[in-house]
Amino acid sequence: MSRKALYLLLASLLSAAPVCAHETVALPRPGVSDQIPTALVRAPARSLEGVENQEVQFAWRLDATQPLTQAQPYRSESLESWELVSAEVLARGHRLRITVPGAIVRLSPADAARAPIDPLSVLVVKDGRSYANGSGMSSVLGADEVASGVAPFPDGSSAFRLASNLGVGEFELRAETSGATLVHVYEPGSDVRLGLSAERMSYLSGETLRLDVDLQNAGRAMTASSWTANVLAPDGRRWPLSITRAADGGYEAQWTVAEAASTPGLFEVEVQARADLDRSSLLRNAKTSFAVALPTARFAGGIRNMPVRMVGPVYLFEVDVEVATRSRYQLEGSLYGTDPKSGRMVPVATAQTAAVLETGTTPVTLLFGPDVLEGANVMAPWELRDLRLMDQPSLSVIERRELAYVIAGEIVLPPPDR
Amino acid sequence: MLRTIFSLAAMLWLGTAAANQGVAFVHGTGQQTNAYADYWQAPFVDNVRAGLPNPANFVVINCNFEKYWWDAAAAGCLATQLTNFINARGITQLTLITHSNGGNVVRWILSNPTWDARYPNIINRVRKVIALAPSSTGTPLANAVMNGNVFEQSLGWLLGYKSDAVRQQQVDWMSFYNANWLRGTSGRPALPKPFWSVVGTDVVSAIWNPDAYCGGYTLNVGLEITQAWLDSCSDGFLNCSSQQAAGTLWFRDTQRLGKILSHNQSRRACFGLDTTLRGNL
Repeated sequence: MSRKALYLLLASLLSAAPVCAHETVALPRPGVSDQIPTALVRAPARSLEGVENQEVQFAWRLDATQPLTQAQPYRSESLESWELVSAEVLARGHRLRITVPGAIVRLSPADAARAPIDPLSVLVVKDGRSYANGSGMSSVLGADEVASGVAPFPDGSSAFRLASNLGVGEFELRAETSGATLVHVYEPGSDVRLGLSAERMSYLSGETLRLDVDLQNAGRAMTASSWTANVLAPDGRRWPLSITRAADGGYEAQWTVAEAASTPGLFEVEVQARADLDRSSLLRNAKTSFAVALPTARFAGGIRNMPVRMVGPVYLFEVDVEVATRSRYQLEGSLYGTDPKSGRMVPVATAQTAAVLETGTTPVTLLFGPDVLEGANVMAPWELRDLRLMDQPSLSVIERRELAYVIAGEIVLPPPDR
Repeated sequence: MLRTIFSLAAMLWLGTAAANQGVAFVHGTGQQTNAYADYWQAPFVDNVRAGLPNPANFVVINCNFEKYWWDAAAAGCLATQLTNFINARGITQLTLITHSNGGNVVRWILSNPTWDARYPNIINRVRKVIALAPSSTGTPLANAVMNGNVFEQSLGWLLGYKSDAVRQQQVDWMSFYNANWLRGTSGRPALPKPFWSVVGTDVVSAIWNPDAYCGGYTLNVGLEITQAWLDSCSDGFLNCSSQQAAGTLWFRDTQRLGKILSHNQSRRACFGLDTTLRGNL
């Protein structure tokens, strides 16, 4: 944009006013992937100390050749296990069912104040033979090396790789310790996998979390002899979770999502499966995460496309937001236009607005100005997509609408005032 | 509306003033008080900034990136130091050079311009970001560190890092944040400014190979075990796929330098990396 145009734009902005209030239309019918609060929660007033108190708006151009897609929830595929082993068990011998040669074992004292375990003090037993002083290991990482930063493991951890020539099967680790030890086993290349995924990435309090769980050996479903699972909130609360058989032969779990945590961070699900493999007990653990939002605000249902007099193309949307709890809310959305050559909808620009909103219903604007629309080489129809309402202090995604507004015609600049 | 006007006014002023280029070095995970000497080391910083018209226009950031990106001690601190630098030196075109998780903190600012009223002014002055080995989709090693720390309530945080940054770089956590709060990865809206990644593809740990020594030998040892969690293409801490997941790939180490860069080497004056960056300023 030329400097002269920028001057004119500033002048027009300073004197601009909507020619008329455009008709309020309802948000389109929800899509299958939309997240919509059914009821609002009036939460205790939270302190906004340290939270930005000024309204801030920003928009930028997008690359029309880069399509925007909806992300899928992360699927965890675990080749590892971890369990807390008492000093008594570790002294007698802790059994591991190893499925690939060269599995990696990491030992971490449960009490961080305790001395780390020297891997060379661990006796490896296989097929009745004992391997001492590291003879059953191919790589050794002592606690001193971990502390020096060569591996991103917690201080006090030590690790070693089981010697590949010992093969697979049932191993026993023996060590003298003064307390419980977390024994973490990682088997790169193993055929035994524990899969875990949530149905969605983000949930509102009161909704039902659905998990898909499956245990497989070389692609074939395995039956677990026992399951242990928990949901953990970032503030430390935890709930037990029941894993049950699914109709497809796999496993599943459901949980009514509790209130959002008071501390930032994601909720986590941790699952442990025990299964029999060749007459020995095999262990697999998996973990995944999801977000929980408290519905303290929502789109009230109305949206308007406000005509504004500018020297270039502009779209100014007003979205009604109903607020039950005062907070700093962020509104964002992406504007799509039609590519004249292909006729396809392509992304043009994205805009954000954030402000502290009081209780009640307030219009919040999203501005796509000439600085992001000029030269975009697209035409009508236009669509406002991926409209999101987020709470910044709690980092929550409260509401999401895949499609928010459709503009069938071209941008028409209103005539200047006479 | 006022902020939009201010942003446009800033763009106008920037367009009319003579460009005054600067560079900021943004460290990775960790709390830094002297990143110039400890994290980057003087040869790297001094050689890179020599590529500026005025080599004095540089700042080495010192913040607490053990925290979540949005924390006042992390992105808040970064915004303070960048704003002070911009104002003190009159910077109009800023190149940000980041390493590892520093790339995520910068991406936080670029992706959430409405989080802090200072962010738009910073974003408007950013010419580009050069992200060295950025942790854009996290690392399985962060999961390996955290696994087992939540299963037993009695353990709590005793075993693991008490570092929000490590929690955040778990691959499943990064998947959520990339899909909802960060821009620039595949399928997401692009970042408002260019984000160029430099990718390290391997790590040399053999003691007889002199290449293993650049950046400090002890920091390259012990990688054989950690490599087991990573793909065949990794820098010893991050998969190549994570390093190039956001923005645009500028180059992989061997493509431009003819040498591989481990995660540690990608923040040091190794194999001409500093010279390449200097030439790009």
